[in-house]
Amino acid sequence: MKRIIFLSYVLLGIVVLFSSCEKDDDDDTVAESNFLIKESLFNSSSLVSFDMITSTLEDGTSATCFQIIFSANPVESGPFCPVTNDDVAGMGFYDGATNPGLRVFAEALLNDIESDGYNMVNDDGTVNVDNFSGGTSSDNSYCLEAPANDDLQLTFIIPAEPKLATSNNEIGEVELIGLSLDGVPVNGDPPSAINGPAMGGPGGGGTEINFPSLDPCGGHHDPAGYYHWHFVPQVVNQVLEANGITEIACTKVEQTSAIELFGFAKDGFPIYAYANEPTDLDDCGGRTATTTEYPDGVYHYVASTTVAANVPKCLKGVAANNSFRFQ
Amino acid sequence: MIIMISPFLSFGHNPLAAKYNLEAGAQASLLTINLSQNGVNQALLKKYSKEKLEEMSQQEWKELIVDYIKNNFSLSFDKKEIQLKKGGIKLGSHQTDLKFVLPPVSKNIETIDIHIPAFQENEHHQTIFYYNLNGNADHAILSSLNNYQITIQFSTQAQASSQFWYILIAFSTLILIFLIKKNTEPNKNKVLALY
Repeated sequence: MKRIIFLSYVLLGIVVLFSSCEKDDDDDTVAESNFLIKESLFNSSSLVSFDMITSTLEDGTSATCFQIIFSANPVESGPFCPVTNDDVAGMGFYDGATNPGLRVFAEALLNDIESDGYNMVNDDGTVNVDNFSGGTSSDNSYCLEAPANDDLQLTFIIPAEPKLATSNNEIGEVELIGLSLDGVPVNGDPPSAINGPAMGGPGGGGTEINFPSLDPCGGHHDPAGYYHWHFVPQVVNQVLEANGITEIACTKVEQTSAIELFGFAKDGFPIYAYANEPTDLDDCGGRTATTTEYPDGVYHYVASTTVAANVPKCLKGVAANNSFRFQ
Repeated sequence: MIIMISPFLSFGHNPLAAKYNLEAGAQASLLTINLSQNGVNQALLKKYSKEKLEEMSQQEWKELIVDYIKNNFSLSFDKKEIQLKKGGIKLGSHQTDLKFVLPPVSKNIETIDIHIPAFQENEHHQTIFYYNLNGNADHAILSSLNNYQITIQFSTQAQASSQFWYILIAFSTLILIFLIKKNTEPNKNKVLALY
């Protein structure tokens, strides 16, 4: 019997040794409270951990923040780039000379790209697609379609209590806007094809283009491998319709018929999708009103149902200094 | 048509991230680098004025980027440093791509040392380094948390170590089951004997 007890202790020790290498999230679970951000609001299937930390904000002050970690790519995505010029795939913001604007990645856009002097369609009708495997030529233009890496984890750091900034935080070129309840990053204006920030004299950006495609719900993968939104997808079909696009529709995200919490901006305020866009929005597309989640009223951003992209153009609050990273 | 876009904003590629992809081949290896043009500009604007960069010819601009990448890259296979030599660059308004041909990688490689401090001047920059070496595909992330350097071990020691623990657990469990069985069997006999 003594041998059994001894061996049981040995086994227990081994189990403890192994389990000590993993973080025990249960001990660090943040209690539901009066904070706007609550663990229960997020999609538990992609949520990895939800902790409170102290972090530096962009205004240099220190504040209690939520550190929320998600597994990457929790939502269905695609299609992005057409295989041939007969296919209808995703969409993109074309800023070439011919018919610029939000366009469907299909024959009409491909013809305009060719007309503007970019070599994206081959003689056999196939489309040049760069899937980041390295087999591209500098003589061709490409529709960009980065592959997914589901092994990534995404970390967001959001102030636990939103702090109003002294002036609006205009979403700039390097900024993230926030995250969806699934833990998908939300970024600012969608990518263009031509008029990027190139330098190096006239034609510094090169004579051919790399044109990132969004799927019909308004997201795509970063070359690092994680999917992110450039649209609030719950009302993207209204935006497509408002922009005269009927060939594609978002079918992978249910379109809201009422008022739906989409996620949180990096300043900690919620982002909502309204089936009927309110008329009392401020300069950042926000308003204060009661919602199902916040019956006492809350300031929140509202996704546009007409403007592409329909994400907030500015934020009212201060974000954490390093609000996003992948690992 | 209700639409608002700014031609000066482009975000498809996270400007805070760069992607390096190393694909090993039998005759040669290929390193592909995908950079956000925004990230490139941000980094070079820390060293050069905007006017100077805009005045450059396209060729000068290409050479500046290639030199920057080469000067901020260190890769060693089993402590043998690999130089970036033959390569090409494709400029893009949104994304700039570079390719370099590297030597083949030994099938018995044990370690890769990577140090890519490029773009660390861009606050919160991260580089994701994908590799596929003889079927061993994975990625590493370089950031300020690891000072933009990492060593990847391909040694069998780690596998052997984990195998040792699994064998130990399995062996201990078997002994425990054996002893429990042995101790319970006489009791069973005693109970049977009572009837």
